[in-house]
Amino acid sequence: MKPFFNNRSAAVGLVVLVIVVVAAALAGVLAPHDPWQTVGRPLSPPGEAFLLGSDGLGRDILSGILHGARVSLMIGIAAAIVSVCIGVAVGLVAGYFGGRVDDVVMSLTEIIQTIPSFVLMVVLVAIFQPSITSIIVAIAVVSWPPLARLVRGEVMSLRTREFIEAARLSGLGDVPIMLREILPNCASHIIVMGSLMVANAILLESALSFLGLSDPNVITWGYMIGSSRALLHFAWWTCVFPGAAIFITVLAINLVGEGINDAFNPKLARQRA
Amino acid sequence: MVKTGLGRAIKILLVLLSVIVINFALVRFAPGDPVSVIAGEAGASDAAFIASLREEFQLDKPIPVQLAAYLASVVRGDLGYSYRQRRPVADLIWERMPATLLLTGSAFVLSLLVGSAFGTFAGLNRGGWGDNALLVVCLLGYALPAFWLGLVLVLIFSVWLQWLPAFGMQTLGYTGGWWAQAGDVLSHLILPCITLSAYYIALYTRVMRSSMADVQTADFIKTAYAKGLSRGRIIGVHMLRNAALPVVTLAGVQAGQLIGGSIVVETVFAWPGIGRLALDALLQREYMVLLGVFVVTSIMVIALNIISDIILAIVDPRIKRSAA
Repeated sequence: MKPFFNNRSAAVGLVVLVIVVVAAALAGVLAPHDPWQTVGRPLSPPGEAFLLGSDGLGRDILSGILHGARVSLMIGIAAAIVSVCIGVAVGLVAGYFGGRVDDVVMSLTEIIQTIPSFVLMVVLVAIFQPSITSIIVAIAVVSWPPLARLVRGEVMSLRTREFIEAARLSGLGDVPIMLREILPNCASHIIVMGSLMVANAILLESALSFLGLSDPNVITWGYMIGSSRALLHFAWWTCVFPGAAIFITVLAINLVGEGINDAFNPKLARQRA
Repeated sequence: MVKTGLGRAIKILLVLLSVIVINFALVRFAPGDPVSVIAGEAGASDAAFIASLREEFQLDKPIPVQLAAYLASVVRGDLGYSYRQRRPVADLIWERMPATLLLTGSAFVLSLLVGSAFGTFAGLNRGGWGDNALLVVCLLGYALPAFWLGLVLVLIFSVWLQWLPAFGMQTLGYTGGWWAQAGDVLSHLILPCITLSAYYIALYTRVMRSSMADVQTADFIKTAYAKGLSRGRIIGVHMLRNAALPVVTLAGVQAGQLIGGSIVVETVFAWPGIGRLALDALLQREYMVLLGVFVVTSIMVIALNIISDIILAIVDPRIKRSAA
């Protein structure tokens, strides 16, 4: 992991990410107020009463951002895990079996990639009602195809290698070969893409909740911006700070993801420099 | 060429078919049957109305028959009826089409042009300060939520500097000649177009940069230098055409995301397009409109894919023009 820490921007990203995770974990303690409660004059500018100001209903924006970090990270990570599972399964099956199976599975992948995914997500969440589960599922449904393609490509180049042949001759079945022999060899690519998927999922979730498609029981960054949008002209802080939270978090995750990539694939990193 | 053309056509039909099936499944298997949803939409729940809706949706028939009926109606261009607005969904969408085409089309062109230009510059000057600055810009571009970027641009250019309008597509009650009107629309278009393009500019810059880098070391470029061609001609003719291929391919793939992104951007700027229609439908739980938007945007994506294939065939030096 040494190259990772030699990479300055990745290290900065990691520090920021740790801060966000701590803020999310300790939101209950760190937040000065309940994020839903009216605790002061509406639209107070950032200052002594409220560090980052208050929104149109007199709710503390800092508290909202701290609590929102939980939801963003949780949905981002959960959606990435689900889409990694789908993508890996699809990619393994298509790449390993090849032929007809590959044709059918990859056509399906291509169809999903062609469909305007954000519109599909909006439709899914709207019809099944916004909840943390429906949002995670909707994000996962549209996010897996690129990973499936990547895994498929890797598997195809691995499956004719000698060690796979040896495993097959030793009587190992298809599934154990896929999981024990092939999968670990694609792990580095999956981890890199998975980390970028977390960032992307956070962006998608924030866009959905900006449109009003968020779980009504939890406060999210996108919801904070969406509900204060009409106040932009008088109270910039209601929109700017929650958005900055999304921006900084996603940027940090991307930096860490690129750092992992450079550490795993040093050849690529040198090429790029 | 004919064979791949046929393959493409089959794929296109498959995509369309799956969109229609997904739509059908969403309506049928959503919580509550479609009739109660639509009756709720219309704000009417008397028995006669519900009975007529059941008749219309043929809910008593087997699922395949229902699907076939739905397919037939979509092929006819019938996307259902908005009981709230008392108009066919297809009409509502059709009306909003020009605004969305203007926004997504200009963002598509802007992101391709700017992304290719940035990427070419960065690829030719790798490691230089300009390249590094552009890499940082790309990194930021990837992490910016489009709706937030839009709001920040409004804050800066409309609220503080008061240079550009914050919302809408035209100034209300604006009178003037054709050119003045066009200028008015253009001034409304600038911010939404930049907002929608930002992510794609970052994406295309990076792709163009790395493909420029690959092309520079290719044998045919060495040959071109050996032939004594000027650097300008080599870059302009030989490098750009080859380096642009991955970008154009990617642009075709990304077209769907661009149209999806316009929902968010149209919301931020109150742009009177399909995205805005979808959001209103969302707020009023008018699922037929929402599903109609889904079908139409999918068709738009397919059209953009075909366009990018055509551009590819024209640009790609490996494809002979006569065969294309």
